Amino acid sequence: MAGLTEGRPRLPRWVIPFGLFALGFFILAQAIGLLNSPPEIGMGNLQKIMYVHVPAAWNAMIAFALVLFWSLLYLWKRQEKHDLLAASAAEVGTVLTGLALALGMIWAKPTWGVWWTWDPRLTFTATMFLIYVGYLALRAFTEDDERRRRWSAAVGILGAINVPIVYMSVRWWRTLHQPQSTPSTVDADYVLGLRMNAFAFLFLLIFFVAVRYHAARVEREAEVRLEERALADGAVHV
Amino acid sequence: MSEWSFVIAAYGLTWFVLSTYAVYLMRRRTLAERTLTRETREDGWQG
Amino acid sequence: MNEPAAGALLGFRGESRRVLAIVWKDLTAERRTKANFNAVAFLAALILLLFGFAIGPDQAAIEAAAAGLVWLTVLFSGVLSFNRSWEQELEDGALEALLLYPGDRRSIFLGKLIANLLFVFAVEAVLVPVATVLYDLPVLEHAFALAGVIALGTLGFVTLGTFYAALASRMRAREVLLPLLLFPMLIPLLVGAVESTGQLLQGDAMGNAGAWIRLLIVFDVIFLVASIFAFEHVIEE
Repeated sequence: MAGLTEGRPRLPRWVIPFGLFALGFFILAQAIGLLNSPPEIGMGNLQKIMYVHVPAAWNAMIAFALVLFWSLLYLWKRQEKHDLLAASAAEVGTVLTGLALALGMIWAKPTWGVWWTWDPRLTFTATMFLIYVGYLALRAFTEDDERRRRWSAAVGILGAINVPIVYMSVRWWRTLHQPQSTPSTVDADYVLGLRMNAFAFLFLLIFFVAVRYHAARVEREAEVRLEERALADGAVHV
Repeated sequence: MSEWSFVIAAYGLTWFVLSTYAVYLMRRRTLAERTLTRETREDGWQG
Repeated sequence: MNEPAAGALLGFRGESRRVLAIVWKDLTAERRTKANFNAVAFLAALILLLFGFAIGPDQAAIEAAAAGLVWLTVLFSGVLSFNRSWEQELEDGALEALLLYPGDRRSIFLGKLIANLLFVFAVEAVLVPVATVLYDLPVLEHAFALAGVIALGTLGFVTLGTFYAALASRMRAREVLLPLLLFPMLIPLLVGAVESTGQLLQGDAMGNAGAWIRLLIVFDVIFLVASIFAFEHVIEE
């Protein structure tokens, strides 16, 4: 039985060492963020939440860009691996977006006194989260493989196209009704911690996508072999 | 400072989500490989 | 006479004739089931009434919310028509037959889009007067601009609705999946439509409506093009 790929998909050798590196770097970055920066003038210690919230949000966007890239590539080349890569990036992106959303709310409560405000960042993150979830739901509910690949690619591309549009419209919407009050400037003191954590999350993103992709390939391979066997066995069909 | 409880909540949540997801991924990978081994073995026996 | 090869471009006149044929087919099927239009239009009026109960009876509260309520009603009632439009093709295997003919998939999508657009416009022809009465809306000032906003908002809504319904109608849990996939994508449209409608209803003293109308136009153009492109890939059976 040929299966999908020749031979068995192997987890590339760089993944586990890279994962360990990512973990170490993450711990370092988090430590620097927590311990190294003085409490900010306006926000006090709350500023430290930026070291997890912002990197999570940024990398969620990177994941979205990956979904777009691989979805386009799939529609162009029709190679299954691009579909699996896009799906892996989408899953990791959903986790990061959900995390960013929760962290945004944890930041909002002590800052503004409420768990939710119609702040552009929160509403943007919430919308992106829903679009991601829709992508995953589509994949979960589509049984035919070929269809699932094509449909996910199309939906992924449309969703990614909407990212800048959603961003602009919720910002306009908010500024129209209330002057911007989000503290967005980052002082030199904080840039190091922010950059390090941004990279830390990026390394984790890469690691997660790599492992998820590998698992997806193996699952797919098993599925294909199962189907092939079923076809061969069930040669006598009604 | 009650501020700290939010900072702790934020970091705690982050570590929890990231580590849980990492564990989930490793488990999914292991399960997938086990399934594939089973499928391949059965293939082998078949012919 | 030379038959164009399957999948070859028909040329503008051929294609528009094909599009119109699909529109006609869709609408006449709809007309045969006029009950469907009546039901949707009635539901729209009912939703407007329910919103009134939920927000009112304070007129000030209703006025403040009116634009949002109207557009939400358009969304909630319109979404019911999109799946149905594709389901008709699935029922009699008409979709396969359509695909066999030479000509772009694009014309199938455009045909369905226009048919859905006309249907939703018809529902709005009922919905807007009802809202005007129920919420005491000053639609006569800026009537043209309002009509334009309604047209732009509906176009974006129907474009994405037609596209996502092409997928959802062929899945289980289609009634839930269509809104789940569609509504998050519509958020910029909703914001733009509600803001411009609201501004216009309140006299648009600062001319803010223009900026939102531009957003609507950008949204419509981008997603019309994107949906047509994407549709080619989702319907290759």
